[in-house]
Amino acid sequence: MAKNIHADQRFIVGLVNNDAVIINDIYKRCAHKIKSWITFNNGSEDDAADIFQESLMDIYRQGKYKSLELTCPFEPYLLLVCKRKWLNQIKKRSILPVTNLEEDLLAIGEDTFAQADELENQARQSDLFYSAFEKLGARCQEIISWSMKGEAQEKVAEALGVTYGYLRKKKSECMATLIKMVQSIKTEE
Amino acid sequence: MTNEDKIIDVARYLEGDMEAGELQAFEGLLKQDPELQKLLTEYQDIHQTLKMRIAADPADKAVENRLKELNGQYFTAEAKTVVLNSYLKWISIAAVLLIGLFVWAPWSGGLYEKYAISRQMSVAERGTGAEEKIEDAAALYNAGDFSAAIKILAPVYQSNPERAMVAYYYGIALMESGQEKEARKVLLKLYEGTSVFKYDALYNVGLSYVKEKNPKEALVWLSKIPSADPNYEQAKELMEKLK
Repeated sequence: MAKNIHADQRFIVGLVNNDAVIINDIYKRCAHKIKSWITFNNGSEDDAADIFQESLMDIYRQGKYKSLELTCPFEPYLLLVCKRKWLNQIKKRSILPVTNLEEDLLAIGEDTFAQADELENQARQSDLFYSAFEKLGARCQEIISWSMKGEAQEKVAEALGVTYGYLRKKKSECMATLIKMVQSIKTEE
Repeated sequence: MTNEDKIIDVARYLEGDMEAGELQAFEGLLKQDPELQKLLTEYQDIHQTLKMRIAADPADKAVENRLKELNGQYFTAEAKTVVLNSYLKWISIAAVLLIGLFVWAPWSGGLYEKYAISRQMSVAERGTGAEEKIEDAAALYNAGDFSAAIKILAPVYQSNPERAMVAYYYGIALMESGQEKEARKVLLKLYEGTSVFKYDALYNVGLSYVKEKNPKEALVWLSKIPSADPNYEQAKELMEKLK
């Protein structure tokens, strides 16, 4: 079934296109809310700025590389992502939060929670894929990294000191090995 | 067809490693095989997620910079009101203007610092022998110890000047340690070639003249950067400041 894309998808598009007006609008709507919530929960203004930036970058990357489609309003989604991120941080730093996140967010719809869950899930997936990538041989890692940089493959072949034909073949082999590794890690879990 | 065969075929299909006939047959198979379709989606998902992590687009940095800028605007504490007597006020204004002048000053070394690229030397693999040495050089380079990095990179470069990655970081390390002339020899050779570092090297040749406070020569080299190159916008901005 086709997803119902929310009209706020325009914020995702604006972020992906580095649109100054839209990004500024995001800050105007949400920055002070996050600043007050994080400073109220034992964080500093710098913490709030970092959390806000990291959350926006996570959303930006999902929009750009994974075609994120927003099915809920943007503002509660961003606020939820930021709040969860901050709660993870304070857990690590052993600071006690003042407010309870879930109580604080009673008015938020289920779809917003689902979408924020998905973002966290993507971060876990990214760690898993990267751990598989790290298990590849040095040559495979080099070939995959270079090939993903978007340079012409002929140039990549030259930079790596191999022929174009070899690079093409080797790249498919390396990627196939990587997919198999990911599948086997997933089975083990 | 086993799962392994399917994975290899999906990889070859998506990486452009299939001949026309084979490709057509595979696409026919793909339409009928849901497992193959699932594998294809999984492959694309892994590819894109990994790309995000290991081969980020330079445009990502531009977004990050915009966010940093806005953070300064929206997250710093409200400016405190300080009552100044008029004498102190004029001194403060003069000081701010003076500081502003030095920050802006086109003749200062600030432009070189601000417009430098390739601050991090990245080596994908941890190898053995010569490769291990390059990894050590990268660690020194990234820590800002360019002289020590040069000691390792120089013999590697001499033994194989065609190795673009080594040549590039060797050139920048030379420039960073004040050997601009030597750096240009290495970087210009790269620019004359067709490696992926071609235009990055060109940009750095321009930058080496900025470092030497020679805007005229810097402009000559920076203006050669083609508009499709990722460094073009930055070079354009730098050129405006040099004019």
